[in-house]
Amino acid sequence: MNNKIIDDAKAAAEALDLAYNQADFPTQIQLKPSRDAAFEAVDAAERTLIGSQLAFTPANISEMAGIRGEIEKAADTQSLIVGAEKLVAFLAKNVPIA
Amino acid sequence: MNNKNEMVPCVKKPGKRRYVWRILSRGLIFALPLLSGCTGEKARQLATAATLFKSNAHDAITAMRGLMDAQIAPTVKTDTQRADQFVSNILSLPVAAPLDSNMMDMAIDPYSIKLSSAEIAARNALLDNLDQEYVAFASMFDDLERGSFLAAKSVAKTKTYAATLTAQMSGIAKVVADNPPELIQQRVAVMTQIQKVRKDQTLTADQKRQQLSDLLNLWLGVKAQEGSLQQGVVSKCLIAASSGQSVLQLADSYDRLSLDDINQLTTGMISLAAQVSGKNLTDLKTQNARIQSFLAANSDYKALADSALEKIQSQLISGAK
Repeated sequence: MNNKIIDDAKAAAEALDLAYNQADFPTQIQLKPSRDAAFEAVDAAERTLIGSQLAFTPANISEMAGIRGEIEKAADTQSLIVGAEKLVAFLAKNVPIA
Repeated sequence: MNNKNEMVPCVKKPGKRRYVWRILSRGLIFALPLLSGCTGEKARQLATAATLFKSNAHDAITAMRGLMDAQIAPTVKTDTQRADQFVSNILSLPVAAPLDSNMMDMAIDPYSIKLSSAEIAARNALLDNLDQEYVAFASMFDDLERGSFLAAKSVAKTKTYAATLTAQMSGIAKVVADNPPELIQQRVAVMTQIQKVRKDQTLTADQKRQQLSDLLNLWLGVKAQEGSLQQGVVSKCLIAASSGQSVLQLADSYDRLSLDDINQLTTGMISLAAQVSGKNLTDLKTQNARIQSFLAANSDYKALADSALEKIQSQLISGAK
């Protein structure tokens, strides 16, 4: 999937930069804002291209935080069960039963 | 002897209630892994795999940032070249032209690009948020080992996110493979020199041929750098996507896979870098296509991948409006 926007942006920046390279310094001063804008368009196009592949939303981050909380809760519960098991084992060993 | 006989019943013949205590205590600890199908070791392997996925994604994102910087970067100049350029630029200005700090900076380095603060912020937001998604994903598993017996249902929920994050890295690998980076200023620097040679009336035909031949090598060098930059980003995204695929398989079969299966998957993740090292772009594209086929082939993953694709398409449509 070739993206025409990024190809066009690169072609425009290249053409402007070629003119810029061949110009004298006073002319370069005049051309600099347009040249910066052309390169910024390349950066923005690349950013959009990468961004087009992203599907995550801020809501997904919150949902993952929720799952993390569930796993933490499971860990705490498991610690309680293991603690209870140790207590039962201790009682079985040490508490005299008639 | 009597004393010994008195103690025997307490040690060798425990009462029924003591047996109940023992059965309860042993039963609890053995029943937990059987109920969930998970062990602490499997949990540790999954958490390690998720951390590796995060780390590989971070490397890929750093490479993407490098690609974006390189595309707009000026050519590297020596101190002498920079000094000559400064002198020449200042002398070319009319004497009446005012000097300020901006003018001085520009005379020293007229080829650097000044991105607007809005573009810098947008780029940082994109890449930093992307990085955070993989950090948040891995952090879900931070406490998994401690809760390995009871968290199987929660682990099953993570596969949605593993599939989406894998699809993202695979998608980025594809668009970078399809849209090669261009080192624009380096290309233009060579083209400018070629133009000079073409216009130079003082050179003989042989001299022009020789100089143009040298410049061809410079041009091919730039193209080779571009290829290397592209291959670096695609391979890093592919390593991240492949590790995401392994995490997805681990999360999906967490309660069914044996420890050996899991060890095999996680060992495979560690050798991913070696597997893609030195591969050309065609091979990398083929490997990436396999990941996308994997996501599409499994009906569960297909639903997840389709959902991610729908989100991507709706973003593209809203972006185009």
